[in-house]
Amino acid sequence: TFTRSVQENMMKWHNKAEENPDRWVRLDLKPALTKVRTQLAEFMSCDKDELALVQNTTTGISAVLRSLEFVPGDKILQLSTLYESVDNTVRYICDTHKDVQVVEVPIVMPLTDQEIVFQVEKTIQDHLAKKDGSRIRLAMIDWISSVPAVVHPIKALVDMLKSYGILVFVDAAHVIGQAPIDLTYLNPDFLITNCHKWLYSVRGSAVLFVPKRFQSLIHPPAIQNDYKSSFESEFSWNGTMDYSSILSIEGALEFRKQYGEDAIIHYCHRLAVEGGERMAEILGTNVLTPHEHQVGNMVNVRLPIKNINHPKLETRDYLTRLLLDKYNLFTPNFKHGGYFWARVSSQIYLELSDFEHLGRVWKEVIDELNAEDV
Amino acid sequence: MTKTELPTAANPGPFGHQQRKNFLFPENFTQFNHGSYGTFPKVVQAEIRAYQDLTEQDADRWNRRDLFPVMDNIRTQLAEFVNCDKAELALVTNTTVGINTVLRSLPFVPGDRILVLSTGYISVNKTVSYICDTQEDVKVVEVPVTFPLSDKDLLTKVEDALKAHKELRDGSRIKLGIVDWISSVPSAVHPVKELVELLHSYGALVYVDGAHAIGQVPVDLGYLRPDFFITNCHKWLFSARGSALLYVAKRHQHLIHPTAISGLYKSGFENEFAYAGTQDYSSILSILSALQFRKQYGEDAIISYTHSLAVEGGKAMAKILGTHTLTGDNDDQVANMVNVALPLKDLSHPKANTKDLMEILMDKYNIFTPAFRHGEHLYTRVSAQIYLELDDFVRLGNIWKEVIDDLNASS
Repeated sequence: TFTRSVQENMMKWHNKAEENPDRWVRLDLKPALTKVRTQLAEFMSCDKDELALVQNTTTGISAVLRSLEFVPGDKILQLSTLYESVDNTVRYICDTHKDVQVVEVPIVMPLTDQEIVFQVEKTIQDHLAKKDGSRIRLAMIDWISSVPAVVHPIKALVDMLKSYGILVFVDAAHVIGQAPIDLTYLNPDFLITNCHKWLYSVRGSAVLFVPKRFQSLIHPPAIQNDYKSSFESEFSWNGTMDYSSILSIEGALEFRKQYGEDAIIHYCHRLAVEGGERMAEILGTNVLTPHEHQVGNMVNVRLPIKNINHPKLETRDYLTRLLLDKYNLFTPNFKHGGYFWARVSSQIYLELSDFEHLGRVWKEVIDELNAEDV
Repeated sequence: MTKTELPTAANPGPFGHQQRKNFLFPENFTQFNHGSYGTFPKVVQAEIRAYQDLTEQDADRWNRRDLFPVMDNIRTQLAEFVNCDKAELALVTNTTVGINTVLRSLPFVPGDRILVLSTGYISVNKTVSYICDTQEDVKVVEVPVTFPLSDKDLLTKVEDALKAHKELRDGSRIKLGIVDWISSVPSAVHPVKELVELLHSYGALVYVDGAHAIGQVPVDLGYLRPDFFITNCHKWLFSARGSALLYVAKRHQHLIHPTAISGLYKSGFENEFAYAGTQDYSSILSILSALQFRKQYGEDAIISYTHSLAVEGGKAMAKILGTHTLTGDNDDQVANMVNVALPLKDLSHPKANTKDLMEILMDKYNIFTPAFRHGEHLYTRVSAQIYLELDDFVRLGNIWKEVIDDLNASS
């Protein structure tokens, strides 16, 4: 979600377009977008011309994957905990190319950073040992996964994958605003992050990083009139649409500057850690991640369901309806590693007592399900 | 098309300058180029804000549950509007996305050819180039089209191209034809029903680029029967920018995936296109209030007013400029947009381009209409709308006369 000041910023852009649509689109829009890229480049320690503003991670993932020229024998490595849309996009690539396949690394938390890196490296080495003429061409790696939410040892993963000659696409959907990003230090081959998640801009604003060495290969999912002129112009116009979500990034950065990134991130992280512990106490359970630094702003708390195959857990419908309609709140809930978890997001508008309330709500929900004879 | 009486003092009707108060224009600004980026009435803006506020009250409730029935309702209403099955419709951001959705999904094979007209929109033709660049032995067949050209002659040109290709007997086949319903620059209404039938008769699939169609001409897909069709609601239907309608005939749906593959890949056309990832859907939702706004007057009334104004306005401008309109006496080739020739003596004048002329128009006169070279002339394209009247076209004609006189004097 976004603040009132960001909403005002978004409406300012929205109104400006209607005052004179031709002047706006033909003259004023591109400089405004370039200003956003400049601000983000400073924020992320990279060159502004290595950034493209896109609608969301789904778009950014497809832009790269649908542009890369895969050849028979190419393999794409992914972690089993990757986001569903990303998994689907990889499957689409495999479906539409001859002999391009997935190599999946099974990830079952709890794992330490070293164990995660080890699992990935072992998968690569097992593949190399096959000597079947195929090659792992590209790896899709979460920086902070979605469900379960885990901060991965991203620098170690990127370095290790590159040492095997594998291109690395970092899915950092959750990262900007939740963890500091330094692209000069990390140096991935591709990276996508949603500003509308943790940075407080309006939904439909994300940023794709493509270093100069790859830019000639990468085109937007929707080709337009700037095709083959330059990466910057190809990605600076996505056809006629409302750009005020993307431009609201300016308002979001302004809001956050009042407090500073460190203060915001520190508050949210500490609250996630303490809130998670408190909820686990109330539920008589535990949190998923063995180490605090694996928690960013999101914590996964185990729900003490007795029967993990309870029929009401088969689809998301029952719990979604119950949480929204009876308790007027929502947290994603999911099975992982044989247990059932809730993922809670801390934020600057929450306090410990909110986590306690949530713990009691979930206790009530689970006690009721456990009481059912199934 | 029936002609509507344009407003007079005695008979002002519901359209004309009084409509300005329903829109968001500043006092000193007149919109003569609705065709490029459209605009929407105040009531539509209010609805957008209302949906945005609703979303923020509980983003999970909205994005996981309440958004979908509203999107579904839009497809239901549009299906009635364009006369097709709702299950054949998808809501997308714009025509660029719609064109790419189909072209990047179709399984082209070596020897496939894609037919386009030279007057096709630049982004569309660039997308075809991309397909040709990235697929083995897939090439474009471009039909050169220069107006003025009657419907009959245009059809003959396309048929000649189809015949010429057949005679090559080189094992290649025209797999797909992409045709404008109403082209952009120059703007001309094409004989789209005949084009669809012609291309079908040669075994080609047809993608109708109706970017400008909905809200400008009646759209009846049950009658037209294209394989694919895209139209921007944010051009002539009065919805907000970023709202377009894609039609994919059921027989092709299993082939077509969104440009950005999402969570519902391979779960059916409607599901795959129901959610395009996290974004602000309020532009698409604004289609509902746009339809509601138009219902006050009825499509026929709106369309016949804007068409009459384009025709009469074009004539008035041509008279002031001492020139002609691109489509001459062929009023059926004009819907709401008319192309008026500009009396520039030297076509190689350094300022005879869209960009330089735009700067003059915007900075000196606070108006804009695109200027472009077509055939042997420089034209400008003017968009009629319900908030305009004939004297606006007269004023525009005088502005252009002044601009061109200045350029002619400075040669």
